[in-house]
Amino acid sequence: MYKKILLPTDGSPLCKGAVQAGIALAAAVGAKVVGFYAAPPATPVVYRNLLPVGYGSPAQHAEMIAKAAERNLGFIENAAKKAGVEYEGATVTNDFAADAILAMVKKKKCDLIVMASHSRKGVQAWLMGSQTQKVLAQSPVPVLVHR
Amino acid sequence: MDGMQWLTLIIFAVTILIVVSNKIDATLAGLIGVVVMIWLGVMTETDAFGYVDWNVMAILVAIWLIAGYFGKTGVPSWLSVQALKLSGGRPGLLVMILTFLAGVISMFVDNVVTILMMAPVAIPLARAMKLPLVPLVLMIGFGANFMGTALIIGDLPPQMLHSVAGAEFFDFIWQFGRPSSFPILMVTFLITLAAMWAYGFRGAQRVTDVAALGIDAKIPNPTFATVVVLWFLGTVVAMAMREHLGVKLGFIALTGAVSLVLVLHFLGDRVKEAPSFEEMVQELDWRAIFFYIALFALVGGLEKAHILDKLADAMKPMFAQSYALGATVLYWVTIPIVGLVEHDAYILTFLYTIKDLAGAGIEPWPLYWMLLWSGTLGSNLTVAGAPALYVALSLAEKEEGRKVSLREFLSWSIPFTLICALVCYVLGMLIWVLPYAK
Repeated sequence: MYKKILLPTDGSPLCKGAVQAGIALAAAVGAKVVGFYAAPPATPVVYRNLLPVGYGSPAQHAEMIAKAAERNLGFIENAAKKAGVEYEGATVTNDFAADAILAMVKKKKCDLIVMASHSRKGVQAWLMGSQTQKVLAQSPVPVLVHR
Repeated sequence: MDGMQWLTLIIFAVTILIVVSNKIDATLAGLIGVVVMIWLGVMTETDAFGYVDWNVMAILVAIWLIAGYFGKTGVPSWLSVQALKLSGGRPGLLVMILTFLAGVISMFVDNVVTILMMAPVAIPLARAMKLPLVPLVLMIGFGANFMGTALIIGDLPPQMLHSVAGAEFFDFIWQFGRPSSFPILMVTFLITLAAMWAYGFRGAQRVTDVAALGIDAKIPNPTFATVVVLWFLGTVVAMAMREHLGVKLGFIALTGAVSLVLVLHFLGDRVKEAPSFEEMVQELDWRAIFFYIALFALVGGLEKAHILDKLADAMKPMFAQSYALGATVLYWVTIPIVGLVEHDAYILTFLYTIKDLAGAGIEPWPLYWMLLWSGTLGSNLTVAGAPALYVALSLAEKEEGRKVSLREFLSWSIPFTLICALVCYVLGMLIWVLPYAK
């Protein structure tokens, strides 16, 4: 059965749900989990989705990103600990989450990806694209989409 | 407009659209556009040949050849390491010095070549100083793209101004009793660098022991480097003296290039690091050269069909009513356009249009300069506007092992372009446009 499960997160409630499901699955099949966060590059402008929402020095932005990574991966680590599942964390800088997930699954030799779908529709979907769909289309390993 | 004028306009527009969309190779698209214009009777093949400014082509090829040798001397690497020492280990200051250096080199050397010379040295410096790579390489790209227009040698637009309006070497420094391209762009560049430092590079942690980084560079063959640098400077000085020498700039540049090859040949083993003439000719960007040839012929087609006269007629009332407003519109409309489309075609088209406006009694020189500056500064907005930025971005992506998103790119390019466009606009208006406005 599955030995190493990749759990990508962006810190959203939807991703937290997928992480919980992924850890439950890992506990049931005796797999390890890899918590993964693709951080945006530190620029002076801070964006939320596609909109600029703040400004700071890249060093301040990098600090914010590091804290977000710690918080998001910390959630997975705690949940894994509680479930008695072996955990490791990974974070990279990349605005293209799907590319980063696909690269990480190869690097960490994972055999399953459990991830959420944000179910974006309309203009938002057109502008931001679906990372989950891209992973589904290009992943070399099975992908479990949690809703 | 008559049928032939519409046909010419359609061929030109479709060709430029294909070039911008990148569906087929830009050079091929340009050459096909010229061939279609000739077969459909817009102009004859002799006309097309005549519209190409072979003087500009000679300048391009000759300067690229000399710059190619310059790139092999190790001088750019040596200069970059001196920049590291000069920065005293302050990462933000290092970025500004390297960007400035790229700007200075690009006044004499093609923008893409400047990036290819500097990036291989800047990247290890950035790694050693723990600097984010993408903004550093982009800043070098912006700098190289920025200062090419400061002097007549570094980029095609100033050479097109020489071709269309007869601007000489010193006209780029001082013209009609006022500072022109070099001083205005240099002041703009320095202010922009200071603003960009405050925007995104202040506060990075200083490396106290620069020597401990273990980065050094030495010039492999000082004889080779000395000969090339002296020949380069000599050619530039001779080009500056063009009016006294009484020959075309392209001929002076070619003389410099050919005599350099000859001198290196005679020096033999003493300059064994020097590449052969054949290698240097192969390294020339022949695609770009043929693209520029096609561009001159395409815009020549517009001229032949009197479309540029029509454009000038349409623009004339705006300049006649308010010269300052007309110059302002020309400047700020150009900025976003050249940010999205290849800027050489746009600049050449409007240089000819301004020349036609001059025939209608509109003072052309402030407009030439405003067009040249906005056309160059605006092209830093996206990679579509300048090949140099595409090269810089590709190098950064390759090194980082990830794609750079549009929003990451824009978070550096928009502030840079806006700051320099605004500063240059104020200087251009005060020094050039307002004194000529009635």
